[in-house]
Amino acid sequence: MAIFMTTRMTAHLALTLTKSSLWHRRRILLLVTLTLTLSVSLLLGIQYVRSEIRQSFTNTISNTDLIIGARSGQLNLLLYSVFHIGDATNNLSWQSYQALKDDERLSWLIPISLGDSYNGHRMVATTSAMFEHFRYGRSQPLTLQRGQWFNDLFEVVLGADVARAFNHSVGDQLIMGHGGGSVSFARHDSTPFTVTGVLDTTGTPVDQAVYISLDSMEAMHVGWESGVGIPGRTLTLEQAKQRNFIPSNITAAFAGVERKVLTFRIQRDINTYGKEPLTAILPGVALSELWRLLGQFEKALLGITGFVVVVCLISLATVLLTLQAQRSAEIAILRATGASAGLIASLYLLESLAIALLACVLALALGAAGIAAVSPWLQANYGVLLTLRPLNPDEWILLAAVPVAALVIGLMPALSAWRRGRRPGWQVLDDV
Amino acid sequence: MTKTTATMITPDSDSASAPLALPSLQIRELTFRWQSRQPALTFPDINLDAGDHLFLRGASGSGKSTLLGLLAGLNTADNGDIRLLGKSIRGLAPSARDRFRADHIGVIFQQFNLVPYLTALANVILPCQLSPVRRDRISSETRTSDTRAAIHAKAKTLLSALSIPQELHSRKPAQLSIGQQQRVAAARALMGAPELILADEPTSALDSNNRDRFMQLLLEMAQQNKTSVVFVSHDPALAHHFHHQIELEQPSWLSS
Ligand SMILES: Nc1ncnc2c1ncn2[C@@H]1O[C@H](COP(=O)(O)OP(=O)(O)OP(=O)(O)O)[C@@H](O)[C@H]1O
Ligand SMILES: [Mg+2]
Repeated sequence: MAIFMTTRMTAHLALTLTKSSLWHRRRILLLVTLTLTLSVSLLLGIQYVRSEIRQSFTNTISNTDLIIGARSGQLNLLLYSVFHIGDATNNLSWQSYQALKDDERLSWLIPISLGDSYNGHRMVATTSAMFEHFRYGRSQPLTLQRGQWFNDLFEVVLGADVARAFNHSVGDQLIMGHGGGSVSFARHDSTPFTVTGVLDTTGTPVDQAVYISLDSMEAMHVGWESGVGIPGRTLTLEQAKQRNFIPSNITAAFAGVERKVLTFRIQRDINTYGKEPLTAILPGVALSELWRLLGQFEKALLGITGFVVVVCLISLATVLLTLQAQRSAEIAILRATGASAGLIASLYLLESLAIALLACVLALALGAAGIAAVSPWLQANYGVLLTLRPLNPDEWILLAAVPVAALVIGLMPALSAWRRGRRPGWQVLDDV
Repeated sequence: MTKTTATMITPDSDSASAPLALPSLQIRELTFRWQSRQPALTFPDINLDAGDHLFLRGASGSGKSTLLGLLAGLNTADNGDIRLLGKSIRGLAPSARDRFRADHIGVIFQQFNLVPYLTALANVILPCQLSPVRRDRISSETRTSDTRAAIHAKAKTLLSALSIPQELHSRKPAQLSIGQQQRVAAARALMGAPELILADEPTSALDSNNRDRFMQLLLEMAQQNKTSVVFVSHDPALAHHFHHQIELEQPSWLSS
């Protein structure tokens, strides 16, 4: 009972002493904590963003067995067709597309035609096959939050973010820009589009695009043969409705294969197609190549962050040890007043632990704020959806390693204090 | 190995067995070596009755601080015996020695006596937080149920008695003069009336006025508590304050 009382008294004393000591040296300790906070948030942030991006990447397209475009590298084709990054060097002729359509081994085809944009958002010309067959994430189809898929000329369906960004809803009239880029110098003023639907959020580049029909694409470009719209030669809706449009080419096509075992066969056939140089890629393979490419970068980043953490831990150790050296007078007093070696050790440990825990909490707050700030920009520019979510086990381990490391560092002076407890001197004033 | 000789200028240094109270301090054939290659420091036998005050003199390096460290149980002697309040402390485990020191010994250093982040008052209260014995002594003395309040009151009384005005009680040590700091340290050593106070040149940084007042206050209050004092100084002018004095001689291996 008495022992219990004294233990409680000692624990209480250790806590109050630590509190006063931390407060007394708060300025220097705050700087140490901030340094540690920055490196912890950097490490944790990179780990977090890495796993989010990986998730986001693999989610962009699913169930598509082949992507077919003009002859190019597989990464290039993947980037412009799926991520809407960069431009196609060449197009796929309508004849080749028809030939693909006639191939009975393919169960479905989604043609896409890129080029124009709406306020910096890619305009994708396609057919209803897109709505029917395109899948993302875990085989999720596209769904509409409002309205319906286009089925006529000059009708447009908006990705969720586009609708949100410009506060558009069904019935709004949109003027498309000619070419890509966020500021178009030439605009298709004479052929306004009507919003017929808004898609649900997918967390993929789909959210950033607007969808029209291939016919609309052709119709809006009548009179634009020279690169600018010549007044009087462009079509009105009524005029356009009188005509039949056949595109001369498209940018790429997504395809589903009837019997999966034939996928490689079909890929080879397309790649060796005699009438036009074509490339067919397997999205999974291309994605993993892209990931590998980014993986190198990612590994380098992780390595750098590891360095940052090591440097920070060393500086933490330096500062803690220096602080402990400053504390030696106080420790001599406490020892002479009857403080046990255990109490002294706990003072050192509590100090390190307090700093580390504070740094972790601050890092979490900073990380959350950072992600909230960066994610709209990331999604707008790269179509990567970064969501705030609870930490996964790996990240918890990473975070938990910080106080553990601080404890180990705190243990160094604590250990020497304990050793000195075994062979102490009269008012020893230095040597940590 | 050379022998440190000592002169105990005491009328009857061998009559320790006579008094009823246990002698507060007895040392016999004590030796200590800081490093195994060095010759041992040897200390004279000492008997100090409860409540007596001993002046410990000696040249620099003669081992005065070392002796205090041994008495406080911060170091263990290589040979010989130390009995404090009749109890041999040589055989005690480190934690038991810490306990004993917390309960029965007050310490005053030459400088850096106070925990920098605690107020003067909190510094004085410290021994009661480390030792239930010293805390209980105060609460039983005042006979109140509120131990905390009793301890605070006692600390304030002690500080005031050592002429630290009320408004300085809540100051940090950095805002106190050296003389004030030393008196706060004295108050801490006296807190909870330990049986023995060990003071290592606590007046060396004080001017003669301050020094005399410090000596007077410390010894007066020790007298009231019947606390024995072992006081180290190389200032012979202080000797007259004490019942006994003893001089440690410089080991010859140092003087050569
Ligand atoms: N921590 C230590 N490690 C090794 N040797 C020490 C240590 N402390 C003291 N000594 C040695 O022990 C001897 C006695 O030292 P001590 O400090 O006890 O002398 P002192 O009488 O207090 O001197 P002063 O009057 O200068 O304070 C000296 O020779 C000193 O060099
Ligand atoms: Mg000394």
